[in-house]
Amino acid sequence: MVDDHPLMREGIAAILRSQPDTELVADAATGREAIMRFGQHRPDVTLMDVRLPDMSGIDAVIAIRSEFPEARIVMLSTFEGDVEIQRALRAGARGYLLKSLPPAQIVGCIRDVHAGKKCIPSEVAARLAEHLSDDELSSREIEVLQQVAAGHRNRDIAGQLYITEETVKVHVKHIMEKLGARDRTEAVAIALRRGVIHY
Amino acid sequence: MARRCRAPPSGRSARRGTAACGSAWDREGSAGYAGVSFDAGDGLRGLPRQREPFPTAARDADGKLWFATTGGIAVIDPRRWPVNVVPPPVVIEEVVADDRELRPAAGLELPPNTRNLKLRFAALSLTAPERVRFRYRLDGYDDDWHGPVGARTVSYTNLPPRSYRFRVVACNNDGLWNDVGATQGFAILPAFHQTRTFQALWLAVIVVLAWTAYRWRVRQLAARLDLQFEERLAERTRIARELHDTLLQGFLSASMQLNVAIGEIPTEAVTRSRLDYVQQLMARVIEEARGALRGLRSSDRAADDLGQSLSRVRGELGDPETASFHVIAEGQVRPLRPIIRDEVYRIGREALVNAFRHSGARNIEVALEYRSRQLRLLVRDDGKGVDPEVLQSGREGHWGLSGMRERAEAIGARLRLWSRSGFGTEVELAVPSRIAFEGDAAPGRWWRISLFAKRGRRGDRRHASEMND
Repeated sequence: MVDDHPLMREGIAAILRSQPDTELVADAATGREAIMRFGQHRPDVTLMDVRLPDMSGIDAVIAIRSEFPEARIVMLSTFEGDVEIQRALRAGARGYLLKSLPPAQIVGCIRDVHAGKKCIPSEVAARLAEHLSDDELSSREIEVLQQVAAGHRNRDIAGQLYITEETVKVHVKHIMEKLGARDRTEAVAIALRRGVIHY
Repeated sequence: MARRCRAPPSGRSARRGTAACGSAWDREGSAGYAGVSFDAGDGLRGLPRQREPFPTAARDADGKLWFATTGGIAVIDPRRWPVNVVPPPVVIEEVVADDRELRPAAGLELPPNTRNLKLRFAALSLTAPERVRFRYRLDGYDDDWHGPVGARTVSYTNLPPRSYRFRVVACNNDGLWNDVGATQGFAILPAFHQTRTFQALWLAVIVVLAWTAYRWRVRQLAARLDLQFEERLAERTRIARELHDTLLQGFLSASMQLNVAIGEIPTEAVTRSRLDYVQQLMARVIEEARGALRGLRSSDRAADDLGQSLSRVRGELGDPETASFHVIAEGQVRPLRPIIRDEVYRIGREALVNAFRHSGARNIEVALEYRSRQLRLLVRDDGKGVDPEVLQSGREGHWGLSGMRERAEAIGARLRLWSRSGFGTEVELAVPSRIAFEGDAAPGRWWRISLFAKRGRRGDRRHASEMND
């Protein structure tokens, strides 16, 4: 169980404790900790928060699966962002859970994944289907977008990423096209909603 | 020895010289007739002797007048006064422009920036040249004739560049005028900076400068606005992160644990149903928090139309449908900036909440007017109105009015509220186009759009759509 919020870990722990067939063997608050503990405990199923303080949960999944390809990992998230879901599944996550789902569903999902199935709740699937054909943002564009979300101006972004202001403008234009946004603000709002970038 | 006064009267009763031929004639005013003076120029020598009671003047049988003077006896024959009947011919001798002497000629042109202009003229009157008088006038500069003067030159300084005509007339010693006189036309050529081309150019430069300054200012304002938006975006992101990390995670965890705890309580227990209710409540709060965090209202495509979002407010409030509720959009619906859309929505929503919850109105109406100059939002009801005291006093907060005002101010919009007890309430929000609409911040485009909009408006029939919730 990987989540940087102690309260969240407590909540999940309570759910797992309440079930006869589930047991929490270890928890971690950061991606690095998660990778380390996975080797130590080799859990049947891992619940991984998408957002971790040191790296993204998805990167942690990739790291764990490069060492333990059979690892069964379910992503945990507050939001159902399609890009995030896609990335997580591509990284090898077996399921994608929303923290707001009823505990019974969460436990059910853990069981499914343990049984070798995949688990994508209908809400998540619906969100995923919405943007199936959309263009993905390049990693550079995501970097630029993160800077935009932080309230930086093109000039500042150019300085931070060592590119020219013109290039930043081009990136922003592409970002807006790909997300179907009409301006920077909307691009950020859409990107946050779809999990392209995080708060 | 007696001398004859040769000089004729001037005809203008001018008193010239020192000696008068008769002192009685000098008192012209009292006697009612004009006096004629003679002086040395007329050949009169000496001063009149006036020693009372002896007379110093006498008339003889021929009508000649005899005067005793200190220089002897003078005699004049009034019947044979010679009068100068030759009007003096006048010539303009010379034009001096800044010390350059120019021969008078037709179409004389003076160089640009001529500062001092002197005209010399003369009149030929051989009888008494010193008594010749002139009058002159510079057409194009003087309004009236000057003179009569004895001087034979006249100066002008700093004449503006244009065409002039100098006219001078003269009279002889007997006041006989040559009204034809002499005329000299000339023009002072304009320096480059005085030409019309230059002035037009200058005007153009000023216009361009003013326009540039205006554009610069508009751009500056737009940039400031953008900066504001960006700051707010960053702030919003920060708040969202904070909410996500603390409140939402905490709630999620609490909800999970509550859920587990409920599972341990027997189904028939009384507390079970209460806890179930709490559980549902928490689920709702979590959903709302998630919605707020995602900025669901502001950026959801389906909710993009402001009118539609507002028309959903009643449903969201879960109010009994006692009032009729309409949302009307007028004009060409244009895309709004997301942040502005958000704020307008929130202000409109607040006004609607007041109308639904407090006004007791039977009719509630929202009008959204997409104008070329501004976006206007009107929320009207025919309810009991807002108590003027509430409007005045600090209880505004109760109505969310201060919040609405703050929101309006923050986006540079104007909020007005009319209300009278028993006559309903009207809230008006006006957002300038430049702020409200997508792409309007670029000054060039703003102009074009507003021009087109003006032209297009006439042909654009008022299309109103009704959106009932």
